[in-house]
Amino acid sequence: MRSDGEHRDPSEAGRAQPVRGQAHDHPLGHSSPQTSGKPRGELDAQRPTTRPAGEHDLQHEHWILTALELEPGDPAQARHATESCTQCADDLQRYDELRQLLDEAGASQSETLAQVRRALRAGDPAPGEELVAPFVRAKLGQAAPRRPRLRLLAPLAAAAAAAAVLLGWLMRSKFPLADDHGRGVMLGEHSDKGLSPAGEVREYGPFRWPMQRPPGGSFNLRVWDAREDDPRRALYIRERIEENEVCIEAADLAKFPDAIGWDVQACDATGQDVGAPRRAYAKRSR
Amino acid sequence: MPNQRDERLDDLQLVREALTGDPRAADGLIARLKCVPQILHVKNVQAGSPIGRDDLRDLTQDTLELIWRKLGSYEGRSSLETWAYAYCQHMLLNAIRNKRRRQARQRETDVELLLDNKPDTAEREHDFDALRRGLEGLDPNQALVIRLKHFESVTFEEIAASLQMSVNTVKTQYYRGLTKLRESLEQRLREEYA
Repeated sequence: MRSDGEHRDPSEAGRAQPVRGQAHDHPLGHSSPQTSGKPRGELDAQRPTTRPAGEHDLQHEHWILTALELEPGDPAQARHATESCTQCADDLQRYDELRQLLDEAGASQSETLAQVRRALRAGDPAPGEELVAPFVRAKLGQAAPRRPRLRLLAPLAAAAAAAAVLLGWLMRSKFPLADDHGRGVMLGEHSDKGLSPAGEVREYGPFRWPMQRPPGGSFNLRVWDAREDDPRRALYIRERIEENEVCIEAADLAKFPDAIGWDVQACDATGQDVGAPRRAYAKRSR
Repeated sequence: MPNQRDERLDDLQLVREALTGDPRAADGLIARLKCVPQILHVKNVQAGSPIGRDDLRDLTQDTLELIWRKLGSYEGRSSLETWAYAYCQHMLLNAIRNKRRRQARQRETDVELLLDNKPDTAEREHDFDALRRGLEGLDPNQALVIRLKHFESVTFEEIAASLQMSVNTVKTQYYRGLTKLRESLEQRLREEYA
């Protein structure tokens, strides 16, 4: 660890406490590097009993760090040296076991995550997978009102919505829809941009929407009578459309009233809605 | 290493944007969190499928709840998958242990005998879970260096370059972390067997 000349602060590196919490209590004192490699009994007999503990701590940590390849030196030699001291050998063994456990945990994790990525790429289903999208959407739906900016905007949005409803009611009473075959339906300004057909058209033609399809997802289309303006009472539904347009059979188109409302909803691969639907109104003038 | 770093930063940005209500980020987050049921499924199969399909669905819901509670603390130190992996592992292990305890009570059997059905796997998974909790208790930099070294097989030199530290500092962080981790595991072991 000191190989590149950087000064090593003992307090940072913990030199004064080589293996924290592991006080040395060898009954026979401490070994020295010179005694390494000799048989245990011989070493025990040679061990001095009066050497200061700090000196041993330094040597002990040097062996451990070198054996763990964290300090320059020969790791094999350092390992051999630790065998001369029960405490050092025990410490080194514990570090080795921990590193082995970490390697195994890492390997297990890598193997599992590789399998997971393969399964996700292949689109293999897993139990509970269908829960993820509704879960996240529900959580974000709950979290959104808590945002301060939205809290401030909420009363304004409510007031705007109330004004829109009132305006709609006034306009509707001024331009009744019931018996004018769609001529009084307000068009264009109620339609989201880019959707076709919208506004006054000769024929409804292909239905088009410039929306981005979610990865692996699709679109759902609904058409309803604009005079009722109730999307829940759709006259026509087509689901799982993978293009940005659909051509409805002429026979079906012929059955559509002269004023229609329609919307398109983007869905993810599991069929869950993504974002809000986009809506348009069209009036056919034949 | 650069790719892993990009992935982590992308995930961090994704999480932050999703949590501030960006609908496009929400789609991305859904796609990334689909790893959760897959991890649970794969690990369950590895453990010999002790958890049934319906229970695994419930476990997915519970794990998503746990992950959501912790999501605000995600700092992009690992990919979202790797981060979620630890919670999945913990939840699955708990579910397996709880199920076997219930079975043991029903059959009036010693729970350890049932846990010993697949002794090596169960014991190792238990150790891995203890390891995960130990890593959580470390200084974040020390834990990161250890994770990168053993879980991502990154060299000290690469870690140093990535974290803009000297190699010596990285090794010091590693050794200090390893020492504290060893102590915490040994402490846990002493408590378990006390």
